[in-house]
Amino acid sequence: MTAIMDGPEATKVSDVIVCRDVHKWYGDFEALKGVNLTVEAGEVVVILGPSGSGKSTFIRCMNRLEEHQEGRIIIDGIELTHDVRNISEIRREVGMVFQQFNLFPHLTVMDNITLAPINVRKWSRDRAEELAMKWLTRVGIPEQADKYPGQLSGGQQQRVAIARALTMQPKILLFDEPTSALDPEMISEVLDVMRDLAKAGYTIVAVTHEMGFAREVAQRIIFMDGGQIVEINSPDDFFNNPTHERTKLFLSQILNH
Amino acid sequence: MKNKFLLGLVLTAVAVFLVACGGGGEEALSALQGQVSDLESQLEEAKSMAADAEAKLDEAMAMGDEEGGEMAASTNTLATVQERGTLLCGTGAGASPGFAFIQEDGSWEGFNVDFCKVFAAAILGDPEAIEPVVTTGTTRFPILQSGDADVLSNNTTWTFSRDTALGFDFVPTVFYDGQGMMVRADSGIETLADLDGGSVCVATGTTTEKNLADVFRQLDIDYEAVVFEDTGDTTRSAFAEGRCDGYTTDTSALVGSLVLFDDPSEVKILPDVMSKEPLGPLVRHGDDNWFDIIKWSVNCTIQAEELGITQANVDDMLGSDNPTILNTLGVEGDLGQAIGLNNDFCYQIISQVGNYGEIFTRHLGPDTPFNLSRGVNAQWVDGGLLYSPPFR
Amino acid sequence: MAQTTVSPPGSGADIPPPEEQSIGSRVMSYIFDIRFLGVLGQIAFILLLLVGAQRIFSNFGSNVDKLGRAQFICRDGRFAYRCAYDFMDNEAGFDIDDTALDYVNTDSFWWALTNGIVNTFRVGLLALVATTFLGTTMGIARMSDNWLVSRLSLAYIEIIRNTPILVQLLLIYFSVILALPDIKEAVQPFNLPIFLSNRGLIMAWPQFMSSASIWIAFLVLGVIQFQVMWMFLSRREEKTGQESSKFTWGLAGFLIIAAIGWIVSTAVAENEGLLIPNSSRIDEVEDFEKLMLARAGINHLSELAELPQEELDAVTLNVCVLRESSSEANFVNRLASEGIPFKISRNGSPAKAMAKYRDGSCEMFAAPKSVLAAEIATLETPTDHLIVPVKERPLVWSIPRFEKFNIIGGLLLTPEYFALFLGLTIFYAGGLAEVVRAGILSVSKGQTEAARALGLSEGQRLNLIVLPQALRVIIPPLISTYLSLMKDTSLGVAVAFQEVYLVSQTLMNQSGRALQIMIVLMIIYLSISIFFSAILNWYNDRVVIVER
Ligand SMILES: Nc1ncnc2c1ncn2[C@@H]1O[C@H](COP(=O)(O)OP(=O)(O)OP(=O)(O)O)[C@@H](O)[C@H]1O
Ligand SMILES: N[C@@H](CCC(=O)N[C@@H](CS)C(=O)NCC(=O)O)C(=O)O
Ligand SMILES: [Mg+2]
Repeated sequence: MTAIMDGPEATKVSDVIVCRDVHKWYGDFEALKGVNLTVEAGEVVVILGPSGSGKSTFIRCMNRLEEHQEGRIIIDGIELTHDVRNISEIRREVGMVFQQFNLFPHLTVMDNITLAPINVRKWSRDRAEELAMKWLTRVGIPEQADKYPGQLSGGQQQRVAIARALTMQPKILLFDEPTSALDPEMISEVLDVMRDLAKAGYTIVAVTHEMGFAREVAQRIIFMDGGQIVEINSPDDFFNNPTHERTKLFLSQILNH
Repeated sequence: MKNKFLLGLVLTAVAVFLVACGGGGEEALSALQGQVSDLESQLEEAKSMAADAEAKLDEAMAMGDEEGGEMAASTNTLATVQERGTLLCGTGAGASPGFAFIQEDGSWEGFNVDFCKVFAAAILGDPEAIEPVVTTGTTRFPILQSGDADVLSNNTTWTFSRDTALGFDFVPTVFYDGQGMMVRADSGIETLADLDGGSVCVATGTTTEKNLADVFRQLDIDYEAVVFEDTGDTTRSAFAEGRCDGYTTDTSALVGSLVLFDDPSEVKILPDVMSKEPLGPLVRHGDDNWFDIIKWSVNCTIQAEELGITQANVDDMLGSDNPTILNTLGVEGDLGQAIGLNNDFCYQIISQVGNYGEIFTRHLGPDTPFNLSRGVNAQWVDGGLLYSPPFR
Repeated sequence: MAQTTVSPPGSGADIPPPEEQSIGSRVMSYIFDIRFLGVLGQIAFILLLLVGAQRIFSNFGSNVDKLGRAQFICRDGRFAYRCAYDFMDNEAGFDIDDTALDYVNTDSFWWALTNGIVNTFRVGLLALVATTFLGTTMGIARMSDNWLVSRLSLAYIEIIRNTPILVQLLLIYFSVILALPDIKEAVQPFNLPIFLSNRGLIMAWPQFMSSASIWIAFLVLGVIQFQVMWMFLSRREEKTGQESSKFTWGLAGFLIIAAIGWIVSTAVAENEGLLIPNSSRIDEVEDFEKLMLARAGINHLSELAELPQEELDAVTLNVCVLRESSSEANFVNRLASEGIPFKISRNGSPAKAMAKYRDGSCEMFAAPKSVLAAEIATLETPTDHLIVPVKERPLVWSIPRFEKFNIIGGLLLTPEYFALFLGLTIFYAGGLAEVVRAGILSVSKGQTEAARALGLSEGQRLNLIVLPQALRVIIPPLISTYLSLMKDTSLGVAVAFQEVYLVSQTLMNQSGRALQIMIVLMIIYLSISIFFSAILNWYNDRVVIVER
């Protein structure tokens, strides 16, 4: 397994996400304190950590929803700088799924999904709709295409959000607690889809509290605390032989929970 | 508090801007402030008018039920005035120098105001028992109609339709005037015809507005009329600011307004007379006794001048052996009683306000900035048009 | 409906049957039935309305009696209440200069009032559009990340919203517009044919000639072509998936058709003419140059500039035209482009122009041929005169030019119109900015993040995601802003703009029929209000359907 990089020479062509010594401040508060991470193409990485540890902040830095102040982030060979061309190119290649779904309530499911392909990728409507339908079928709700988000259940909405991200044909998928706003029955609907995507070979970075999913699907688990990466490990080692005291404490808390 | 502060800020900013731009700024600003307060007071007035109209409506309804009887009582203006103790006298916006102008201390002065005093002296024995009511070209008629004023003394022209269709009665004319045109002295305009292609500022709701249209149509002049709802000095200020090439209204008002210009020599009044404008007080139609009172109060001032009765000598005249004088002053006969007043009403007028000539001279004569000659406003014996019917 | 009973899930069958009730409690339950109470309330309301209306009408009746019979004289001189509005056919007698329709002071009161109404909409609708733009811009600027931009728009909003509109209006009219330079020193920005002075804004403006109808037909054809081309190319695009520059092709086609139309209508048109004595030896407009050279005794027109003023005055052509006619603009442009000095005398009617032509104060008369043909017959010796054809283009620019005190030609926005327009726009944009801001803030941050994460540009985000959602919050208060704006056009009375309120004030004064005109005025403003609330209701209904 790939270890934390310690120099630019070590970057391989297959590394689609490279974060080096990333710092992020909210005013005086330092939310990320020098984070390093490299993700290979096709890898599934799950980020765990207590609340407020900087998981969301980190993942949101990867598509510039948050701006990092120090360090470097290189996505698919393009560095995130202040250059808007870079930013928009990276956003095209990185799909994101949010905890709160963030579907556009004024558009139908179909329009939600085809909006970006038509306006950003400049596809014809037919092509966009064809692909959208394919993804809707894959996430299991092709019959909902003409409804508005407000008419769907939470699980259905999150599946639309996933289809929306995927129709853009991204190379990388970011999930920020995609199941946290869902009722228990709906969680599995969404996890099934994510499992499916992992098998299909997508590069995935996911923040989740679903330990079962992490153990089963992830190739690496990243444990964050206080704005730093405390431990990077394979799922087996992470859950069975955690190296750090902090990790042990965290695991004991959630497992006893 | 905050609003006031912001308003002050804006006004200051504008003032700075204007001063920086030089010339006319201050005048514009003070004119503006005047404007705002005028309009505000007009709004107030409109509101109170609306409330009044409602009250009137109710009154009218009550009247409708009870037939005639009540009607007479409520249209007895004399009784209303005597009970109130003051006379509501519509005197314009108080921006007409010489005729009705508000002094710095807030008091009203002018030729028209003195006629209000004439009526108050005759009816209440006290010339100061008047309450000037602000009127404009468009509000004056509703104000008189609704009873917010007992009489208008504001340079309103006596016309057929106002006397009939509008439901008013005009008493003898106190100022025979004509419509004039003011232009800038350096404009090269010498006659009305020279205004071809120019623009003219005029107040709406006036005879002036229609005369302008008629006269210029007759002359086949292409012109632009800029029509203001005059709330005091609006029309003239716009002309002064250069909005128009000409400014038209009654010649007397034009002469009076000269003192309002920064430099009166920058403007001139064309010799053309565009119309007949007999200006005089008016009352609501329907209260004949009230009409008589106002009519004969005016006649008294004219008659007194003709007879040589002045404020100074009126007491001596009480002992005159001329029966006409004695009748006029109420020493003999009981003329006053016939109109519900004391017999000495004319004595009161002359002793407290003066005769026509004295009023004219006081406000418009040689010692004033206006220096108007009597012209057609002289006594008939001097070749003028003033002619009081006999006090018999 | 109103009385559903909660039943345990999956057990619809075991609802207890309705209890047998005593007569009294049944009656009571009817009385307290929400539907019955609703109907009762409505009946009570209608009764109240009727009583109110009856009172108003009886008041009205007795007031009408007090007004006297003179107010209700019919055209035939008889008296009848139904003739209350007959006076409106009488001659108005006062001027309205800033009008969109043709109005002269000999027209009727009705027509004067109509012009007032048109003026109300003329200033109101333009202010409405401008308010929308300015308010939206200011609302967005207020939320800008740029410190200066957001502070400036905050200052604007606070100052504007916290001062009375009347003060602002008078300030704009008296202290800004009337404080502009005199017409003789009019400001001409960048030397464009635009003049800004205390007589208003005057600018060059296109004027259609009679041949324009042909050209316009071609333009319509061009638009249809554009549509067809667009549809055709889009369909091909969808089939092949390949982008093509639909817009460029459509536009190119449009321009070509427009150009052909221009050439055709120029070639076909022969409506314009010039009446001139035979003795002047002019057979076509091109001869003017020769005439000028001969008159001035020079070899080239450029030498005119060196002539002393009196000589120049002597050779200057004196042309009569009809006031504001398109022939004027056409012929003036023609002479100006050839550098021929001319003086224009504008006339209200052909008869007046002909009078000047006869007495020699005009050397020629430019007008449509049809007018000239009729007028030439009125001359003593028609054969001594001829009508020279003047070429025309479908569209000519009416260029402002100085004449005596004023600038004539072009399009004039009077200071009064301009002040009211600006005053309304600036004031209502301040309020609208806050509405827009609230609307945009109502769209959650998540929407913006989702849009960004999908790669939408900031412009697309605003247009496709934020504004459509914000609009649902913005539109209802926006429409009431529009409504207040329309009603506040009546402030035209403060700056001498003759909209319907000022006109009706004048009407009342000149006719003495306050009551009748008040009623008409109320109906007019009421219609405007109802119109806007209808739009609001329609919009609300529509939004509800789209939403759920
Ligand atoms: N916009 C912000 N402004 C200031 N501080 C912020 C902001 N967003 C996050 N933070 C702070 O940064 C820290 C990291 O936040 P982050 O949202 O990344 O935590 P997290 O690990 O995702 O927690 P959770 O599991 O609760 O979602 C927290 O202490 C939080 O308070
Ligand atoms: N005499 C004319 C013109 C009067 C007039 O123009 N009055 C203007 C001033 S220029 C005005 O506002 N006057 C105040 C008033 O009439 O109450 C008329 O009666 O119509
Ligand atoms: Mg989080």
